[in-house]
Formats: sequence, structure tokens, C-alpha cells
Amino acid sequence: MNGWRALILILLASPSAALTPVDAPLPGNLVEVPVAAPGEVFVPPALVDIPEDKQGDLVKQGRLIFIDTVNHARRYAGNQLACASCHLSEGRKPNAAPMWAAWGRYPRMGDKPDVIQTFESKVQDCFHFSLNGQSPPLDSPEMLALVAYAQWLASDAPTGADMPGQGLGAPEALAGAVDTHVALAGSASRGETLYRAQCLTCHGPDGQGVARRGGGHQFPPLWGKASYSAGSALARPAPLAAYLQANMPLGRGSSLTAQQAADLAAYLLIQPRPADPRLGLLQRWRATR
Amino acid sequence: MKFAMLFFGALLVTLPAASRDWPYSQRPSAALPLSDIPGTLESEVLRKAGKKFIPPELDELPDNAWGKLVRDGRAIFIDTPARAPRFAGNGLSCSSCHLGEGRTPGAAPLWGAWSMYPTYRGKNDDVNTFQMRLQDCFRFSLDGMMPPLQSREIQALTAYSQWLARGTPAGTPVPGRGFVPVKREIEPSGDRGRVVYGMKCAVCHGTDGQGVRSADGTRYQFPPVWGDDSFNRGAGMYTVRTAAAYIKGNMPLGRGMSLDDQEAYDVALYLRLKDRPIDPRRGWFSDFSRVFAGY
Repeated sequence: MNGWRALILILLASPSAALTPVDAPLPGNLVEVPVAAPGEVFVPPALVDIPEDKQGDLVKQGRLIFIDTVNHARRYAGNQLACASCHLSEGRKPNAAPMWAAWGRYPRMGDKPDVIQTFESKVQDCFHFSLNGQSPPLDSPEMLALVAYAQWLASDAPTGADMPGQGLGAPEALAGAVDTHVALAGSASRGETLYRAQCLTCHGPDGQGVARRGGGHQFPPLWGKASYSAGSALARPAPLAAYLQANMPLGRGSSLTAQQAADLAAYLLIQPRPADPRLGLLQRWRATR
Repeated sequence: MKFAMLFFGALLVTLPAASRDWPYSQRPSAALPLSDIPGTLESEVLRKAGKKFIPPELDELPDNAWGKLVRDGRAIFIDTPARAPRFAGNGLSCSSCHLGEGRTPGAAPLWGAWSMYPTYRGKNDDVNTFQMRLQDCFRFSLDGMMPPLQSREIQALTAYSQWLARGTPAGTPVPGRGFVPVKREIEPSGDRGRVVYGMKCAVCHGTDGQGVRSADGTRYQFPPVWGDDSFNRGAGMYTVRTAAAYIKGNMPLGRGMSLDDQEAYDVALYLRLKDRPIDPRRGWFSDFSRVFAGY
């Protein structure tokens, strides 16, 4: 009997007992980002740090839109994805295009020459292509909320500086070697084998993902009507391979080789998905023939 | 059983520590050295002792579309009536108040402002983005029209501000942002303000407050502080305490902090009592009623 009491006391006093679900921080708050000298890390602020004022309300609204776009930005979202479907951990995870690294780096050069991307226009592009919906106007409440959320996540991050973990950096890019993922020639058949082995559990045999009851998806659809359109960045092989290698399977990023990521990307990109919204009907018809 | 539970408990404790090891070697701030840049630009102490923030120099801009946008933003900033004629309303430029091309600490520098937005503003009781703040500057301080959010002028000014703010921590009040603090409990006197204005300000701004035009007469060398070409009654500078903070920190030009709080308040009230364009938020009648009310 005394032995049981001692065991209970040990369990209560040990640090692991402090990690009960009540005290544990929310999952999105745990991402740490190395910035500086060894031991120094950038930690995006925790949810409990959102101030209780009008700006805090806007930040909370922005977070809701970010993680549940289908329900909270209904008039602009087109498919079943949320922002957080790709920007993992509510926009905090390094190498999944985190918001804390993106916010301070805009306005900057876009992909095309002579085009300057502001943060707002980038958000509009996300809605237009990745969410296959409508671009929210610059002064819409959805846009204001998303900008406020991104700026809040970037609290204390250096403005305009390149931070490790920004964008879709592949592990090679993190070491400072190359900035862009080398696009290897992928084989769709090898990719299918790999998909069945590693991805099918969450994303399903038809790439349909796992839906939530209230709308949106627990695991996002990878192709088909409910997925991102052919005009989005992840519909190009090189960024998609970089994203897959850095982040997938969920929780085991960097476990795929570059060749495996390229194979997977090739398999995903031969699947049907919504057409590029910039194309007209005639062009779409021609493209499918 | 006991040992298994203890083992998993220990595992739970050690896991977060293990995930802290990241394979990164380069610190991001190393890409942008923040100290020891020789130059003539203003510097401002950051929160860490020994570190100084220096806004970048114009020569560092690349020769691409983005660099051109930033240069356009600077051109608009220092010569607003000529470079943004469709939106500017009076004779002022942005740099008439934001001294040193928006770099001077204590004169609302752009590098202190940019990363603070979106933020709550009491002026319209709402959260404003930086672009909306620029719109308010055009509407009130420049007594003109609000540029649309997607206009070239707003984009250029935003790019210029973000470029100036490179390296400052986002969302954190940097020392030197905004204006210098002034006391609140001060009773200003317009009569004393007239005397101080005549002694210290009239050399540049003129006894009639109309400033000094440049030799070709196209723009102002020293900005008008009242009258049709000055800021209107909706501007932040029309508030006595705001104007006093600005005057104390920056005026007379090059000799900031030489006036005490009382003198700064007096001059600010003296400027407020002068004639200037009406507040665009109010109608004509409310502006007349201001006259009848006697203030």
C-alpha cells in the first residue's frame, strides 16, 4: 500500500505529470525556429498572448480564417482547403511557407520580372489559385484579418531579413547551399507505389483526404474538385517536390529523398484537378484534349 | 508496469529538448549587419545594448523593378506635390514632417512605423493597415485625396517604408519611433506661443507662416505651417499635444529638444489658432460652429 502511494507521489511530482492535457500548450504554439547564435530561437507568439482589444479580435478572426477558410471566409473560398492545409501548424511550421517569415519580406519581386508582390496581393493569389476561389478585395475584413494574423505571428522577427525556415526550403537549402529545389525527373509509377505506401493512410486512395463534419478537411484532398487548381504554385513540380520533402509525411518531414519527392510530385500532378482559373473555357477544352 | 510508466514519462520530458536541435548554421541577422556601417545616416539604438539600427542607403538598392519602385516611393515621399499630383492637395511633402526622408528618429520615422501595422488607432477606432495609414496622411496632413489601396503611389510608399525598416523587429516599438514624449498636464498659452514663434520659428517659416519657397518657386524649402498650403484641421498635427511633441523633438531644425515642454505647447497652440483648411470629415456648418464657439 505504501508502495502505491509512493508511486503516485512520484508520478505527481515528476515533470511529466505537469504535461497533463490541461496545462499543455496548444499544438500550434510549440514550433520553435532557430534564428541566431546557438541556443537562440525565434518562437512565434502563443495564442494566449493575443491582446484583448480590437486588434486582438482581428488577429483571432484571422487565425480562424486561416485554419478554417471554408467556414470563416466562405464568400471567397472556392474549394475545401484551408490556408493551414499547406501552411502547416496554423502558419507556424518552418519550411511550410510560415507566416512569420513571409510577412516582413513583402513587398518584393514576384516570380515574373517587373511584377512586385505585396503581401496582400500574395494573399489574393492564394485565394485565386490555391483555394480556387475569388480574390478578397484589399479592404475586405477577411484580408485585414489575415494580414493582422500574419503580422502578429511575425512579432519580433527581423523585418525584411531572410530567415531559416522561410518558404518551402528543402533541407539542402537550409544549409545555405541552394535556394531552389532541384527539379528531378519524377516517375509517376514509382510515385504511385510510394503514395500507396506512405500517403494513402491520411489522404485516401483517391486523394480525397479526410473530411471534417462541419466542413473543411482534417487531411486535405490532394486532387479532384475539392483540391487546389492547376494555376497554384504547388501544381508545379519543383515547388511541390520541395514541399513534400520538407513536410511530408506529416510529422516526419525530411524523411523522403529528393528523388522520392520528385516521384510523388509527378504522381500527384498527373491527377485531375480544377483548371487554371486564368484560362478561358476554350483554352481549358483545348488543354484537356 | 511502474517502470514502463516512468520510462514513458522520462521520454515525454526529453522529447522537446531533442527537437530543439536544428541543422541551421547561419543567423538571419548576419545577412544584414546592423552595426558599424559608416555613413551619414541617422542611427538609433536598438533594445540590445551596443546594437544600432541604421536604415539602408539608397545606393544599396538593386537595379530591378523592386528597386525602381522603392526609388519611386522615395521620390514621392520627398516631393509629393510633383510626384503624386493627383492625390496631393497642399504644398507639403511627406518629408515636410517626416524629416530626413523619413529616417530621423523622433520625427515619426518610417522604419519605426512600418512593422507596427496593422494596429489599432483611436482616430477612427479601428485597426488600420499601413496602407490605410498612408491614406489618412494624404487625406488630412496633405489635405488631398485618399489614394486607392492598389494605386502605384501607395505601393511605392509601402515598398519604400518596408525597405527602410529592414532588420527592425516586427511588431515591437523601436526606440525613436513616433514623437518624443511630452508632459500632459500643461496649460498652453497662445500669446507666449506668438513670442516664441517670432523668436525661433519665423526665420524659416515666415512671420506669416507661409514658409519659404525654393528659388524656382515650384516647391517649398521650408513648409508652410498655416494657411491654404498647410495641413488641415483633421491632421494629427492639429492636436496640440501631438504638435508639441513634434516641435519639442525636432524644432528649430537641427536643434531638437532645445525647447522645453511649455514652450512647445505654446507654439503648438499658436499654430492651432491660425487659419487652415477645414477638417474633411466635417461639413461647412460644423466648421463655422467652431468659429462661433470661440476656439
